Amino acid sequence: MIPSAFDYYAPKTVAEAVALLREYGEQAKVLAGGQSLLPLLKLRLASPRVVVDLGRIADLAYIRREGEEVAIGAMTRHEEVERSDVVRQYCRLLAATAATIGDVQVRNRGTIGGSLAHADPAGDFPAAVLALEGRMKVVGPDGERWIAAEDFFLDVMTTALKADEILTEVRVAVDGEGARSAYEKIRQKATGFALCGVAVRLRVDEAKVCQDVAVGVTGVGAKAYRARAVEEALRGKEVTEAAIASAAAEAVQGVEPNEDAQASAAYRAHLARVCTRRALSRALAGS
Amino acid sequence: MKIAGKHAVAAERQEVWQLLVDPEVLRRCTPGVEELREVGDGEYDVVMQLGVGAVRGRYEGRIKVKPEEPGTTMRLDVEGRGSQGIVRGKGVLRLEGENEGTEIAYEGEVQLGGPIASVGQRMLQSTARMLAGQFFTALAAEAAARQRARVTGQPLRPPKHGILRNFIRFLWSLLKRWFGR
Amino acid sequence: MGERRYVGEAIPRVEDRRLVTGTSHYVDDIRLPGMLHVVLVRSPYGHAEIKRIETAKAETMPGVVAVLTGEALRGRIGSIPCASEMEGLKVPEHPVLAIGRVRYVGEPVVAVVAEDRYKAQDAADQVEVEYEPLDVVVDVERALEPGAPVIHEGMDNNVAFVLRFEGGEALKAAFEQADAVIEQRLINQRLHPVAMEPRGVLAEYWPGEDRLTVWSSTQIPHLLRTQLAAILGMAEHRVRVIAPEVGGGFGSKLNVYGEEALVAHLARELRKPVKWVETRRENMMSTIHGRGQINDVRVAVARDGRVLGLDVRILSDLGAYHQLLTPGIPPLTGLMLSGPYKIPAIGYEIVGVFTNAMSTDAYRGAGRPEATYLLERVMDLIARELKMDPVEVRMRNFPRPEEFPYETATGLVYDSGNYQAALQKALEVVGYEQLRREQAERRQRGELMGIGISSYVEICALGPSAALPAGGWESATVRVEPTGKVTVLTGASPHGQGQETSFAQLVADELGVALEDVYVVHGDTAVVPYGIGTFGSRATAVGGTAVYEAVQMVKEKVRSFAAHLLGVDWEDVEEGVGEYRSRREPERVVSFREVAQAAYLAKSLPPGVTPGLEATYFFEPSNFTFPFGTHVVVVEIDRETGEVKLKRYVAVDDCGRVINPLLVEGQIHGGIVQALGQALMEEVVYDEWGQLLSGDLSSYAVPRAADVPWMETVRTETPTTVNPMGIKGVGEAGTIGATPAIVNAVIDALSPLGVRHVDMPLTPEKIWRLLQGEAGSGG
Ligand SMILES: Cc1cc2nc3c(=O)[nH]c(=O)nc-3n(C[C@H](O)[C@H](O)[C@H](O)COP(=O)(O)OP(=O)(O)OC[C@H]3O[C@@H](n4cnc5c(N)ncnc54)[C@H](O)[C@@H]3O)c2cc1C
Repeated sequence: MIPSAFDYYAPKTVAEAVALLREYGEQAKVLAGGQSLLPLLKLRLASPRVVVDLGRIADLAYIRREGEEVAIGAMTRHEEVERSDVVRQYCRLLAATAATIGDVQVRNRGTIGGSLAHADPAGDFPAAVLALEGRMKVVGPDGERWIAAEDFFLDVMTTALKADEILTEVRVAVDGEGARSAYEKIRQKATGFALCGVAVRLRVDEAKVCQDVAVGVTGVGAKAYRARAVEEALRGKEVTEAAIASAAAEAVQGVEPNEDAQASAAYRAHLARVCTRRALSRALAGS
Repeated sequence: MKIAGKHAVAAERQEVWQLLVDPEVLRRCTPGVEELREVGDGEYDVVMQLGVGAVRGRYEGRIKVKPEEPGTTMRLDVEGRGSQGIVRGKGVLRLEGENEGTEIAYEGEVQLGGPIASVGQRMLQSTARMLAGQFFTALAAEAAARQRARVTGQPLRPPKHGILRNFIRFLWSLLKRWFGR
Repeated sequence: MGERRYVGEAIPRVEDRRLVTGTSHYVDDIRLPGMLHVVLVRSPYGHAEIKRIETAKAETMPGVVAVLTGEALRGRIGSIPCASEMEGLKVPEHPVLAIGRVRYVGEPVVAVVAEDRYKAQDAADQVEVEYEPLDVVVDVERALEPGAPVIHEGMDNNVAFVLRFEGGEALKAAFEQADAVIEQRLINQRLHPVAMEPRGVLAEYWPGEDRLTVWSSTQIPHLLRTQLAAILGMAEHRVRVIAPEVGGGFGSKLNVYGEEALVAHLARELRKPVKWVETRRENMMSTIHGRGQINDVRVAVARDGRVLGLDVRILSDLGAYHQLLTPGIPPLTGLMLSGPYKIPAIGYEIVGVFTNAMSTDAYRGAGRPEATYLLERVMDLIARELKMDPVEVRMRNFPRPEEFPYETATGLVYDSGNYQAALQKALEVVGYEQLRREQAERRQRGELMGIGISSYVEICALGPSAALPAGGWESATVRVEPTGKVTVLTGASPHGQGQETSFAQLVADELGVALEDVYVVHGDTAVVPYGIGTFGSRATAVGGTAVYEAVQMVKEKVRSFAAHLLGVDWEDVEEGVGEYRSRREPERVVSFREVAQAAYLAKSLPPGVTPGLEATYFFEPSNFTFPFGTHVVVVEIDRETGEVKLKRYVAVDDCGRVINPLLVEGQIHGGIVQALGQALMEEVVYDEWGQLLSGDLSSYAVPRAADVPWMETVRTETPTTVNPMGIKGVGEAGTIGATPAIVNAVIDALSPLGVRHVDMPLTPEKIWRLLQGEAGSGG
C-alpha cells in the first residue's frame, strides 16, 4: 500500500510525454486513470522510476465522429464512453461494454486508452474493440502509426506498444445499416472483471443470413481474441438459434483457457460458449 | 498452478539438448536473466528481472537442471526470491523428434509465495506460458544461429535476445497462431 | 419512566453524519508531532526455519530509526495472550516477532521503524531473511496424520486440545432406538472478517508521567489495557487505551494482537509516538480468520421426524497459534448444538488442531453459526430421508412455548421463546404453500428453484461472568452535567452498531430530555469506567441494561432535588418532559436544567443527599439471552452457468424488546449479507504450500450491494426475563440464521438432480460441476 519513490512528470503535450518516455524507456510508466497502475504501485509490483501523467495533456479526451469512424481519445473515461450520445448512436457496443466495467468509481477514473494499453487478460474493452475491428493510433519518437486491434494485443498484459510509445486514440467503424451488437459478461465476483466477456457485432439480411459477424472474447485466455471459428460457422448462413448454438461451441477454438483460483479452464471454456451464444442471440434479437 | 506446453525447434534433438545444458545458452535464453553463475553440477545462481506489462520485479534464485535421460528428459527446478515474494517452479522437459525438427514438451507446476501469491495468481498461468514461450523462442533462435554458422562457415554469432525481446514477443504471438497453441 | 418519545422509534443514527461525511477520526487520522511509523517484514513462507536475518542495510537507510527482530525483543515483550482456559490445553509461546521459526504466511519477523511509512517500507524491502523451508500442513486432517509436520517444537503432535461432552439422555441408547441414522460431513470454511477499517495502532509514552497512551482499532479497550500492561510489564493504571472511531470488527478486533504490544513497546523505548496501520493484505494474512470447522454429524431420528440424539465430531482448524479466544470458539458450537430443538441426547468431541495458517477466532457468530448451520442442514437431511416437509420436521422438534425456560442437553437454559410463531410467520410472509406449488410446476419444466428454511436460536448478551474468560458484566455511568446536558459513559465499546443513538434514546426518555442533549462516550479507558466491550451481541442487552440501571439511580437523585426545589415531598413530584411539577400545586414547576444546576451549586441539599448528579452501575446478567427466528429464502439457479439468484428473502427475528427498529434492521441486513458471503462466495484459500491465495480483495469476494436481494424483515417480540428491559440482542442473528437458509435453498433447488449436500461456498463453478453430473455427495 506504499509505493516506492518515483519522479512525477505531468507533460502538457503528447510530444513532451513521448520525449520523457524516450529518455527513461523501460524505467518510465505512463499514468492514465490509474485504476490498474496505482494498485500495482501501491503493492510495489511495479516500481517505475518515473511516472508520466497524461492527465494534464489537453485534448486526449474526446469522442467524435470522423468520417465513417468514431474516434475516441485515449484519456476518455469509461463513464464518458458509456454515456456518450455519439457512442450510443454509432457504436453502441462500446457503450454497452463500458457499462459493465468494475464499479462507478472505476468507471469515473479509468480510461479507454489505459484499458487497451494495459491489456489485462480480463479487461472488457479489448473484446469490444476486437469485435468492432478497431484500430489504435500510437505516437512515438518517430511519429504516429496505426495498429489494427488484432495486432495490438500480443499476450498477457503485453501489447504492440513500445516502451516509448503512447496510445492516443482508438477508432472503430460506425455501425452500418442493420448492425446489431451485444456484450455478454460473467463477472468475477470480487473485482467485477470479466471471468468471461464476449462482444458480438452482427449484420444479417432480411432472410436472416449472416452478412458480417465479429466476435471478441476476453477473460478466457492470456489476451482478448477474435473467435474466428465462431464467425466462420455463421458467415453466409442463416442465423437461427440452432446455428448460433453450434457456432458458439467453437468459442475457444485454438485457445488455451486460463486456470486460476477463480475458475478452472473447463469452466472458463464453458462460460465462453455460453456467453457467445447469449451475445449472438441478444444481438440477433436486436436488443 | 499447472502449466504445460509444446514448442517446435528446427534443429536436431541432440543439438537442442546440447543447447539446453549449455550455461551460456541458458543465460541468454532465460527471460530477464541478468546474471547466471554455475555453482555446481547443473546448478546455477541467477538474478532475474522478470515482468509482464507494468509488473516488474527483481528475483534472485537458483536453477537446477538435472538430465534424467540424457538427450530426451530433463528436470528443472527454479526458485526465486524478490521483494514481491517467491516464485517456485518444477518441471520436466521432454525432447522428441528426429532429424530436422525437435518438439519440446514441458510440464510443470509454478507457485507464487508471499505478497504476490494472491494478486499474481490470476496472471500466473498466462505469464508462465509467456515466459516459457520466450525461452523456447530464444532457444530456437540459438539453434538457427548455429545452423547458419555451420552452413555459412562463419563463426557463431549468438543472437541477442534482450534487444530482440519485443520482436520475439511478436514472433511468439505469430508462432502461437501458426501452431494453434 | 418519563414519556416515551424515543425508545421504540426508528431514529436515524447520530453517528452517521460524521461517518458518511468522512469527518470522524480513525486511528490513521490521528497524527502526533514527531510520530514514527512501523512497517513489518512478514514471512512469505508457511513454515520455515529462520536461518539468518540481515538488517544492516536497512538500518543505514535514510530516515530509519530502528530495526528489530524477535531475538532483540526476547524477554522484553511477553507472549501474545490467550484468555481461553481449558483442561489440557496446549498453549504455545507466541512471540510478537517470530523467533527461530515462522509458522504461517504473514507472521511478523522484523519491525522497521522510520520517519515515515515510505522510508519504513523502503528499508523493510532491504531486510534480508534467509529461510529454510519446512514441510507445511494447512489441512486439519493431514495435520492429525502420523508423520505430519509438527508445528510446535516440543509437542508430539498438532492437537491443541480434545474436549468431549455427553449430556441429556444416553446417546448410545438414542442411536439404538433410532428408526434412522443420518450421517453427514459438513465443512464450515475459513473466512476473512474483512472489517472496513483494517487494524491500526498508535502509541505515545510520556516518560515524566510514566504514562502510556495507546490508540487502537479495538472492540475491547479495557481488556486490551489489562493485557497490554501485563505484556509490557507496566502498571495497568499507567496505561490508557483509546478506541477512536472503529470501522467494524465482527470479532476480528476482539483480540490482543502482537502489533498492539509492539507499537506500545516501541513508543516507550524510542520516546516518540509510533504508529502502525495495517494494509488490507496484512489484514487478510494476519488478522484472525473465522470459522474453519469440519463437522462429522450423526443424528438418530424417529420415524415421525423427532431427533433422538445428536453426535458430532468437530475438527477445528486453529491456525498456528492461539489468539485471545482461539480455543474458546469451537466449544461454543458444542454448547449450541441443541439449537431451537428438543434433542434429548447430545454428544460431541472437539479436536482443536494447529495448522500453518493464521489463527481462527471469533467472527460474527463465533461458533454459533457453525452449530446452526449443522443443525439446519441436518433438519433438511432428515426431511429428505423421511420424505417429510422441512417445515414439519422443524415443528416436530421445537419445544413448545410453555416449556420455557427450557433446559438443553448441553446444559443451557433458554429464557423464553416461541419458535413455532416465528416459523409460522415466516411461512405466511413468504407464501410457503404457494411457493411449493410454483416450485413443483417449475420443476416440471426443468427449472431449478429452491426454497430454504432455517430456524435458529442464538446465545446472546454474553454473558454471565462465570461463563466468560474475563467477565461478562458491563458498566455504565450516567452523568447530568450542571447545564442539564447528559453524558453517558459506557464500558461497551460500540464500533458501528449504533449505541450512541440507542443509549441516548433510552436515557433521553428516562430523564425526559431531548435526544441531542445526551452524549454517549465510549472507548477511552481514562474516561470510562472499566468495561468489557462489544461482542457476542451484548452491548445493548448487557451494556444497555447497565445504562438503564444507572439512569434509574440518577433519576432518584433528580427527583430528590426536584422535590427539594419545589418544597414538596418526593411522592408529590410529577415528572414531565424536561420538568418537574408539584402534584398539589401544578403551577409550581422546576426545569430539569434547574435541578441539574442545583445539584452542582449545592447551596441547599436535600437531607441526606450528596452534591452532583451522576451514578455508575455494573450490571451482571444472571443468564444469557436466546434470540431466535426463522429465515426463508427462495433461489433460482441458472442451469447454464450455475449462478444462484436470490429471489426472495424473508427474515423473522425475535430479539426481545427493541429500542430502535432501524438499528435492529441494520444489524439483520448486515448479518444476512455476511451470511450470503459465506454461503455463496467467500473462502480463505491456502494452497498446500501454505500460501494465502485469497489474500486480497481482488481474489476474495465479499458481497456488494448488487449481490444482495431485497430483504423482507419481520419481527416477533418475546421479551427476555434476564434483564429489566427485556432486550435480547441482535448483532449476530442475521449471520447465524441466514447461511443455512441460503444453502438449504440451493440444495433444495438441486435436489431433483439427486444432490444431497454441497459444501460452501456454493460458487457458480461448483454448482455447474454438479449440473454436469460430477457428484457432490449424492444419494
Ligand atoms: C476495482 C476495479 C475493478 C475493475 N474492473 C474492471 C472491469 O470489470 N473491466 C475492465 O475492463 N477493467 C476493470 N478495471 C480496470 C480499469 O478498467 C482500468 O481503468 C483499466 O484497466 C486501466 O485504465 P487506466 O486509465 O486506469 O490506466 P492506468 O492504470 O493509468 O494505466 C494502466 C497501464 O496502461 C498504461 N497506459 C495507460 N494509458 C496509456 C496510454 N495512453 N498509452 C500507453 N500506455 C498507457 C500505463 O502505463 C499502465 O501500465 C478495474 C479496476 C479496478 C481498480
